[in-house]
Amino acid sequence: MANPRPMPSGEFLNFSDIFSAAVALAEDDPIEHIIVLTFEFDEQQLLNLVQHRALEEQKDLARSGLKLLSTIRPVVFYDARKTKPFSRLPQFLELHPCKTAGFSCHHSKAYCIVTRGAIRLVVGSFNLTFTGIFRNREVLQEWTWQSAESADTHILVEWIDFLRQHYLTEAQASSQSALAAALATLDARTAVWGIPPLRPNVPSHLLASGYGERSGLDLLAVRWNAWFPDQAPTSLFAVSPFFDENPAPHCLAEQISSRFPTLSRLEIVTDAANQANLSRAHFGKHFAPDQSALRLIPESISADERARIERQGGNSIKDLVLDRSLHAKVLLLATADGAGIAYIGSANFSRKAWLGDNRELGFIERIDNAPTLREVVLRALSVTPGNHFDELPDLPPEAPPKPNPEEIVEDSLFPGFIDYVVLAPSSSSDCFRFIVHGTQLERIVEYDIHWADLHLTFADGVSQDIPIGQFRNTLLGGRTLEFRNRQMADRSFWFPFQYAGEIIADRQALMHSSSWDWLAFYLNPDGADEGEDPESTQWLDGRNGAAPPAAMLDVDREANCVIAMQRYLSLFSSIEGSFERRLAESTKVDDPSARQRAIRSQVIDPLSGLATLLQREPVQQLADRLFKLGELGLFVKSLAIQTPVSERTEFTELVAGIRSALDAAKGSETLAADYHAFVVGQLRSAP
Amino acid sequence: MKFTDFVITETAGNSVDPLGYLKPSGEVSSGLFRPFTVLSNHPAYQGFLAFAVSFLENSLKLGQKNFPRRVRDLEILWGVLSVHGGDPVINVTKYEPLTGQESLCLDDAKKRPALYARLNYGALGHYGSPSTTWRILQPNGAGLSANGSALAEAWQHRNGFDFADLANRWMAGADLFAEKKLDDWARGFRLAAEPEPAERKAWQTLIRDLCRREPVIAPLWENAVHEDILALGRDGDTYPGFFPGLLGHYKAHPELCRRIELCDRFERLSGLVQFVFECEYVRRLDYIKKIGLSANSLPSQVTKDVREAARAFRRVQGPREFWALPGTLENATDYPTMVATVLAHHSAHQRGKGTSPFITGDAIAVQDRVDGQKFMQFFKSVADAPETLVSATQWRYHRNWHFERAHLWQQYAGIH
Repeated sequence: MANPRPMPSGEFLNFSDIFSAAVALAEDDPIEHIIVLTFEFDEQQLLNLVQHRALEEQKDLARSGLKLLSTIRPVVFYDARKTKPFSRLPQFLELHPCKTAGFSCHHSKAYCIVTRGAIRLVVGSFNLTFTGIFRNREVLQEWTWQSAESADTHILVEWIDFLRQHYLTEAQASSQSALAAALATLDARTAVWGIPPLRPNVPSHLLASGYGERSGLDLLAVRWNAWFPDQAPTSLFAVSPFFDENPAPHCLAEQISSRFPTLSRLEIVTDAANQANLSRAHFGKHFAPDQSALRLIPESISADERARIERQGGNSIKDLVLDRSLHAKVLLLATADGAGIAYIGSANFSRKAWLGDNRELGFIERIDNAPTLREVVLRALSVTPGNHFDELPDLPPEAPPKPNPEEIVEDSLFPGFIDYVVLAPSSSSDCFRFIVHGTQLERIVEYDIHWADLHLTFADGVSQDIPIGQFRNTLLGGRTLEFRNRQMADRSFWFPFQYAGEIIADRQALMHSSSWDWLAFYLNPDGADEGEDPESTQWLDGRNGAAPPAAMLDVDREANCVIAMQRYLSLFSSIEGSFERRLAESTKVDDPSARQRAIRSQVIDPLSGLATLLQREPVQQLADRLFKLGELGLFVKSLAIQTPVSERTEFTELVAGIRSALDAAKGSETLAADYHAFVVGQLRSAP
Repeated sequence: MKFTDFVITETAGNSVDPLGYLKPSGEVSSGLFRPFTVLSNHPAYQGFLAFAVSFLENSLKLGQKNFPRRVRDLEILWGVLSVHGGDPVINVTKYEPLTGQESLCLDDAKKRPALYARLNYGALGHYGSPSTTWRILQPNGAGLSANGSALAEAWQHRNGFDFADLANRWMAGADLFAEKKLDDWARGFRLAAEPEPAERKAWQTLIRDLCRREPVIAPLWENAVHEDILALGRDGDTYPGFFPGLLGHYKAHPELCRRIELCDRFERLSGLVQFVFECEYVRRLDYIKKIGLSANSLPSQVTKDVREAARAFRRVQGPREFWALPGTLENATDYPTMVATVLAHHSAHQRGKGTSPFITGDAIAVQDRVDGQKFMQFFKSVADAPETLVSATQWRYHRNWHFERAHLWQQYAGIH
C-alpha cells in the first residue's frame, strides 16, 4: 500500500509566482504550450498569461505579443455563458466556450504550462481572474515534472488522459487545435522519459465530476474503499464559499452521509459574510446539533494577516483596503485515528458540484493526520475560534442575501442552438466566411450578428464572403461575434469562433499585413512596444542598441522600384543573420521531437509565412515578387545546408512551395527568366 | 496543498491609462524629481545595485541574458541578510522561509523557482532606470559611472566587513548560515542599516552632481521643504494648502515655482477630466441607466472648472506644448461639448495604442473599468456640494510628486 504524502505546511503560493518562474526560465527553457481550464477569466490576466508577462500588469497587448501568439497558441476552456465581448483579445488565442446542461457550468480550474524541459500543472479553486490570482483565499496543488524521477508522475498520466477524454472532443472544431499539438508533445515527452502506465495504490489522484457517468461523490467513495477497505470515516470537514441555495430535501451533507453512514461529525468553514445564506438544513438530518460546527472567517482582516501582507509589500500599503473573499474548496474525510482523504479543487459544498452536471476538477490524496491538516487549513485561512452552528436558522432564507456570482441563470434569449462557429476559407480567392454549427440554425434570423464593425448575413448557417483584409483589421478586438437579439436590441451575446485548419496553417501570413511588416517584426521581435515600460530592463539586456523598433521602420512603398528593392534586400540581409542564429539555437535542443518543433516554429513557419505574403501582396511588377521569392529560396537552401542531415526534411515542403511560387512569378522578361532559371537550378540541388 | 495570499500589486486601480496621462504626467513630474519613480522606496537599494553591477562586471557583461538572474543571486543573499536583521525588503516573503532553514547555499536557492520569478520585481527592475538618472549607471548599459563605482565601493564596506568577501563565498556555494558572524553581517548590511560616512559622502556627491546638471531643481535638495508642509500633502482636508505651501517656500526661484505650479495644475485638470470620463462610463452602466444620475448643477460647474483648469495649465506649461488635451478643452462652452471632447480624446488615445475605447457611443465597450458603486459615492458627495469639486477631484486622483521620497534620501545622505 502506498504511503501518504508528507503533511502540507500551509505554505502560501500564488499562481502568479509559479507562472513567473516559468517565464523567468523561458530563455533557457522556452514555453511551448499553455492549457487553461477555468470557469471565467479576466481579459487582462489572460493577455498577461499569453504574453508571458507578470500576471498583475495592466498593459495592453504589445505588437510583439500579438505575433508571439502565432507561435504559441494558448488554449482556454471556460464556461460558455461567461463569454464577454473580449474586445482586447487577439486572434489565434484559442478560446473554447464549454456548453453544459441547464443550470450547470464548466467550473474546473487547471493550468498547464509545457516548456521544452518541464511540464507544470496547477489544479485548484482559482479562476484566471485578478481577484482569483491576487486577492481571494484560494487553495491549489502544483506539480513540476522534468523526468520519470519527478514526484507524482501518475498525476501527469491522469492529466493527459483527462484532457484527451474530455477536452480534445471540445476542441475538434479547430482541425488543427493547439490542444492536439500540446497532447502530442505531452505524449512524446512521457514516452521519452519512460513514465510507467498507471499503477494501482498510488497515494493521490485527480478527481473529476460531471464529465462521465460517475459523480464526483461516487468516485470519492470508490477511492475511499480502495485506500481504506477496512475502515470507515467518522468526520467530515468542508471549506466552501458557496452552498446549495435550497438544501432540502437531500442536501449534500446527507448525500455524503448516506455513502459514509459512520460519519458522526460535520464541520463547515466559510466566510462570515456567507453565514446568512446557511441554515441547519445544509447540515442535513444525519448530524445532530452537537455533531455540527460552523467556523467563520471574519470579514475584517486580522492584525496578523495584515502584518504578513504588509511585510510582503515592503510596508508600503498603509492606505490599502484589504478585502479578501474565501474561494477555496477543501474537503477532509477522516477516521477517528486521523487517516483519510483530503480534497482540494473547484467543487463547492453543493449537490451541483459533487452530484450534478457541473464540470469540476480536484485533487485527492491519502492523509494520515487529519486533525493536524485541519489546523493547517484553519490557520492558513484565518478562521477564528468559535462554533456558530447554534446561530443558524432551521431553513435558509427564500432568496440568499449574498448572491452566488457563479450561479448560472438561464436566459431564454441566449442562442443556445449554436454549438460552435468556425472561420474558414471561402471558395473565393482571399476570402473567409463564418460557418455556424448547431441545431435549429433557422433561428439565426432572430439575431443581428456583427464581427467588429462588419454586419454578417447568414444563409444555411454560412456567412457572406469576407475579404481577408477584414481579418487583419480585427487582429485585436475581433475575437468574438456579437449576437444582438432583434426583438430586444439591448440584449447581446458573444461567441468566440474557432479557426479552420487552413487558417491556422496560414497564421504567420495573416498576422502581418505585408512582407515589409514581416521584415520589420523579425528585425526586432522582442523589442517592439517596450519603450514605455518603466520597469523594463531591456536597456540592460544590451538589446536597445539593435535594430530600430518595428513601428519606427519607415517604408516608402511608392519609392522607385530599384531603390525599394535595394531597401528590401538590405533589410532581408539583416534578417538572414537572425534566422541563422535561430536555426543554430534550435538545432542545439537535445530532445529530437523538441528540436523538430523548435526548427519548425522558429525557422520554417515564419519563413513560410513570408513566402505566402510575397505571393499574396500586390506588386508593381511581377519581377519584384520573383526577385524577393528567389532571394528567400536561396536563403532557405543555405539554411537547409546548415541543418543536420536528420532534420533537413523539415525544409523540403518549404523549398517545394517556393519553387512553384517562382514558376508563377516567372513572367516573360529575359532578365526575369534568367534569374528564374538560376534560382530554380540552385533549388534543384538543394539538400 | 498550498494557499494563496493577498498580493500587493503596483497596479492600484482598474484603469490602463485610458486618457493618456502617462507621458504628460511623466513630463510634468520630471521637472522636479526626475530620479524617482513610484517604486523608489529606499536609497540602499541603489547602493546594493551599484555593488551588484560592480561585482558582476568582472564575470558577466551587462547585456548577457543571465545578468538579471545573477543580480538576483546576489539579491537573495542581501535579502536574506536583511530579513535576518529584521528588515522587510522587496520579495521579503520569499526570503523568510529561507531564514528558517539550518543551512542555505546558493544551490538551495536556485532550486526554488519562485525566488527567480519576476526578475523585474526587485532591485534591478525598480532601481535600474533611476540609477541611470542619478548617473550611478551609465546609459545604454555601459556599466557603472565614476560616481557609481564610488557608491558601490562605499556600500560594500561597512563595520569593517567587505560584502564582496561574503558574495564571493556565496557565489562559490558556501553555506551562509555557517557564517560565524552572520548577525554582524546582517546588522551592517540590512536595508535600514545606517550608512557609513563614505556612503553618505557618495550620495552627497550624487546629489550635488544632479543639482549641478539641473540647477533649476537644486533648491529642492539644498533648501528642502519642512515637515509642516510635507504634512499638508498627507490628508484630503489639508491638501489644498500643500501646493501653496511649496510655492511659498520656493518663492525666490521663479522657474522652480512654475514647475511646481504645473504639477498642481496638471493634477487639477487631469483629476477633473478623469472625473468626467468616469462619470460618462458609469452613466452607461445598466443599473445606473435605470436609476439615472442626479447631478444638480454639477454639469455646468464641472464645465466651468475644466475650462478654467485647462486655461490655467496652458498659462504655465511653458513654450513647448507636450499635452494636447488642455488646448481642446479651454474653450469648451457647454457640458455636452466638453464631454464629447474628452471622449474623442479617449477614443483617439486608445486607438492610437491599437486598443478598444472603453466607451463607444452610448455603450460600454470594455467592461469593468470603473467601480460604479465606489464612484457613485464620490459623485453624490460632489453633486451635493459642487463648489468642492476641484479640490475633491484633485485629492481623489492626486499623484505622488516625490517630496517625501526626497526627504528620505536627504536623511540617508546626511544632508539634514
